[in-house]
Amino acid sequence: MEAENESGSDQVIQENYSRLVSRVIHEYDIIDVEPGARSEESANEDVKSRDSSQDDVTLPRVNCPEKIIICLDMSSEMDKVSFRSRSGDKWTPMKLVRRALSFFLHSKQRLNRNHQFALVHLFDKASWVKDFTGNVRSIISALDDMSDTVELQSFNATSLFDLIHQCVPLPELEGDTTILPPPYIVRMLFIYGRSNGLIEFRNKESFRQLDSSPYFFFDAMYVHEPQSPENRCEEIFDRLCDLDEKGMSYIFEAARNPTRLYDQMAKLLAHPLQRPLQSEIAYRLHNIADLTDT
Amino acid sequence: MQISPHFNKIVESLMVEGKFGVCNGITRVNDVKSGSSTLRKSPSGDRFKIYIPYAGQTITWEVILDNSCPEEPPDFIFEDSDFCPNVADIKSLVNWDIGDPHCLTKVIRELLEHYKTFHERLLEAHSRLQFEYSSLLDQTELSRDLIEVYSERTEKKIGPINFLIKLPVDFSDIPPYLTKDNPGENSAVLLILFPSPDSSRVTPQLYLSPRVEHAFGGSGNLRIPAFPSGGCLLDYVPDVYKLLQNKVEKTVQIYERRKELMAAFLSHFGRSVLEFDADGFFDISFLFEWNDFFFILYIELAPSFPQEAPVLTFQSIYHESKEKPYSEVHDKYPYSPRWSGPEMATRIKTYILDNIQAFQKQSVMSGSL
Repeated sequence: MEAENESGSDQVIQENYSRLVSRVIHEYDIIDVEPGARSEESANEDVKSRDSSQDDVTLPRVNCPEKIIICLDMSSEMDKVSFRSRSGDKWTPMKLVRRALSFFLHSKQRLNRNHQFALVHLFDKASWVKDFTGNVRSIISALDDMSDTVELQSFNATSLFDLIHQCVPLPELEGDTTILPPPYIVRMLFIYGRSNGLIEFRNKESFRQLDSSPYFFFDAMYVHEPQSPENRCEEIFDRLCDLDEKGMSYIFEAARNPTRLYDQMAKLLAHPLQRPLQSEIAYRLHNIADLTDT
Repeated sequence: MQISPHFNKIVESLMVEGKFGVCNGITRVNDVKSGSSTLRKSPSGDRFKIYIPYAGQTITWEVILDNSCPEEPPDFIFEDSDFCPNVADIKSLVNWDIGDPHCLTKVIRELLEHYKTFHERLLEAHSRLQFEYSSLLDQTELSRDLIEVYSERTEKKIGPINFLIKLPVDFSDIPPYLTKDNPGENSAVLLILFPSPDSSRVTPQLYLSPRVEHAFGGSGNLRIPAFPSGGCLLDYVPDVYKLLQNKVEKTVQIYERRKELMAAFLSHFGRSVLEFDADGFFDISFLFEWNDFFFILYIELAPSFPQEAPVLTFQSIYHESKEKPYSEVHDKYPYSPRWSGPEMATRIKTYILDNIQAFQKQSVMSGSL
């Protein structure tokens, strides 16, 4: 079911290099139908850059410090091998996510030393593991020294939002909020890995309280088995998208393809107050069409 | 002890509106006491100290009102016993009206005027200092309201003597400083200390208001020349003024250049931006994709930009080297400070496209997956 490597013609030209590259980078297998794909990406130059008048947001586009809460799924599915490269290397979602998080943390810190990170584990309820710190190494150690994953069914999202609402104060709105930068914003990075365990969300009170603040953001990364009639990936992904009530979230997913997981995690680096809406993101530097001309 | 309700309004007015002198500094009120000897339940404070910034010092005056006769004008105790203005000369004291919430503020303002004149007169006995003062007034653009002088006096000698001078620099184009604490007006104030009337070891100090300091990149970033021995204020002060005015112009220019370049980058690549410095426009970063290969580009501007080219750093999101993401710094590439922002952005884009393949190759080879 794996498709041909798209850059086949390039490889013929640069053999040594391309062998390495194909092993590592160009790993597409598919044409899996992406459950509820949320973005259409086009070349950067094709479309006008973001026009602020189109936004509903009236927040200043400032790179204030972020308090990022990494919410990591501890279900045993995270430890089941499901990501593969063309060359046959295999990984569990957890291994890839931990590595991608390490890149995320280092990059985010380079962007701004004042960003802080916290870690929450998602069992059937959420539990706080590491409080906010700017010390990236300590978060990475906490990720390395994790407790074991557990066989889990559905996830109780109420418990997560209750926990965050209780433990994380949001900045008060002061002065002219369209101009004045907040002292920080709070962003949840919800990493979920269950292909069958639904996200249950009965009591939304805490979530509503958090989401009512313009300084609160919810982003998600969903890793899962390839979508099939035997699992509930599409439904789960839709539930995740439902959490994006303000339209400001980034919700990504990846299955099977490790490169894509790294790519999506990198997109999550973007600062919520400065980044385009997910429907407007465009990273490509060059049209493929332009390349064939040269 | 709390202020008696009779005097609440006038004290509050003093604390809120009482911004006097060259520095527009606020007046503090403290050490509230009661003149009444009997203990009372209700607040009855009717005497207190006020602290006023003046000529680089804080002067302390005691204000004495009477809770049992609130309409009576206040008495004052000045820490400087030589300062005894004639009450009849203080119009707002003569016309004291407790019903006017600003009456105390007016009196203090008038008293300060007299105090300032008192210190100006003290200079007359010392020809060098008198010359310094009057030459500033007569031969520069400075007016009397921009200068405050203060002489510390003991029985035996006079000194140090302070000259506090507000420099009339035009700060109107200084970049904005977004903070919830009001950064206040923009100003630059020079405090010059003479240890004694004829000393040559004169020490200058420059004070900048928060927004100006922020625009200059921090307090350490402006050095003023030492006061030349044998020099005089008439030469020195205009030199500092010119230095500041130049610095302002230069700061504004290079700020505008950074802003222009940032706008050009955002217009090319706004849809792949990760973060950018929205305050000083010193850096911006993007996530780019080339042939399905994603990478991060950091663009950083030095304070000396546009003289110095922006520093470009390519960073891998797949490969590590020495436990950190693999990255390459590129700071030597075809560049001219004379290019406009849009031209710089276009050329840097070309440079990136020309080098991305090599970066990809290097990161694959040097890094581990």
